[in-house]
Amino acid sequence: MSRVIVITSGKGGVGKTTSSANLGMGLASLGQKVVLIDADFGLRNLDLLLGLENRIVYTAQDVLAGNCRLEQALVKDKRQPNLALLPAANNRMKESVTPEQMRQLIDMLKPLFEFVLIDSPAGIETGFQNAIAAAEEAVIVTTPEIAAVRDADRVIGLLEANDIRKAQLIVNRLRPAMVASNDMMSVSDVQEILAIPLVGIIPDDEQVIVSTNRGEPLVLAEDPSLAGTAYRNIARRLQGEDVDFIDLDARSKGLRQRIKSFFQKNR
Amino acid sequence: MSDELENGDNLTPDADAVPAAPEQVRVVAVDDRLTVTLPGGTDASALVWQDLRQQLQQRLEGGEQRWPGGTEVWLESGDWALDTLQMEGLQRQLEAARLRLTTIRTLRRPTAVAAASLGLSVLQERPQLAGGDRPLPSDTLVLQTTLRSGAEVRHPGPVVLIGDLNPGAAIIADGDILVWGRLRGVAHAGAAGNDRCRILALSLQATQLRIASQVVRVESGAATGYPEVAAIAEGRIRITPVSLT
Repeated sequence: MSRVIVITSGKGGVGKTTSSANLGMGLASLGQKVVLIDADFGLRNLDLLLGLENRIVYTAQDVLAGNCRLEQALVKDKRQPNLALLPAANNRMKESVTPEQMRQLIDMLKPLFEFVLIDSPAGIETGFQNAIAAAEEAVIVTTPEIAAVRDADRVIGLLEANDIRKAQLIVNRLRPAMVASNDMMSVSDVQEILAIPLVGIIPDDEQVIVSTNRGEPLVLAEDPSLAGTAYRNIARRLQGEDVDFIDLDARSKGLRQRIKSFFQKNR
Repeated sequence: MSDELENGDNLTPDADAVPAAPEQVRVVAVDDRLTVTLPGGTDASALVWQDLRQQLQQRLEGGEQRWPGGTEVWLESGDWALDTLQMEGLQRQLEAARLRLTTIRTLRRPTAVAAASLGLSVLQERPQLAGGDRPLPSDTLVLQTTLRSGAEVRHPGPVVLIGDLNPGAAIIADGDILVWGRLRGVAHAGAAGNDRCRILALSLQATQLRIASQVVRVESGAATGYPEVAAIAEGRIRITPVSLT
């Protein structure tokens, strides 16, 4: 029984595509057969984050138009044979994909994969409506900022209106030191507003930028960064495992205490 | 760069499934006037219209050198229902390229009304394809612009681009493709199946090239510093330095 999960946020730039790439890769390395669908028609990026841009020949729109078979459009990942990408066309003239066609695509994919992950575009307009059309559950990505949380809240409401009840939350780009000094919303502040189950917390990490530019998802790293580990844990939670949350506070507290003791020593 | 080629993938077995080029905006010089033909379509939703305008802009870019200022333009708008605002926008866009929109041939009443209200001549009849029913094979499309991500130029003949083809942009031509600049996007020469077509670029930095039904990926798109040509030899795409012999 395959699961169809949309990854969405409302606000742009909070890490939807990064999360999609890492969760897809993470689930695939746990042995699940995963397909990632780039639903950001006209502004596709997922192929870049996965380092698969030069392997794209056909797109989802070509499948819908009957220009090719589904298997021809699916881009296989060389590093991880369990993962496939269904790319979007990078062209607005071809944008006229309907929610009905999206359902059609996903019905074709469901028998072939255990996880169908849909990377939604920002906003709540046509692209978003397409992305959620066939989804059965959702992962909401937000950053601890009021604007992002407000948009996430709106999106959760829209999902409920479309009968997608199972929504889980990723809080991205958290800076524990700023939270401790009351300069950033804490995870519990965010959860208080959104009131959906938390599936993961990703710390702000420079490695995210490095991995994006290289086209290598964080979870692939031999010695994963904190953010990479956090994504691996989310992938495990998505497949139903009970994994403890990384104690991000412990690290920063440790650092502060070290600094404090350093100054105390030199006093 | 040529030794970093991977084994060429073949697009077959569905070779004829290579997307057929739907007609895009055409700008053709006939006698001493230009004919702008809009592609098939009827109603201009904001996004589609924006794309059409962008296509037209690409076709007009650098046209000042080729068409004398004040050249008369006939618009073949076919089935498009255009309102006064859209028509005015087109008129201004053509004016910016120092062209003078005078006449519109349309099948739709709203378009005719909008055109008439702007003082343009209106012919309510079937569009006439400039240069006969189908473009001549020698109908080379010359563009002087930067083709940016999302732009896709399809042309039933050779394409010459004076400028860069950025990543995420594509040229799909039934003939040769010549890029007088950096080629970093997707180039598909001989898209209708002619495997003797070539791709030439001053700086060939593409990550993927297509000729006829062949696709080749180039893992490192690093610049070599000299012009290169991609062509099919012994059944696969090969990239070699351009030689003058």
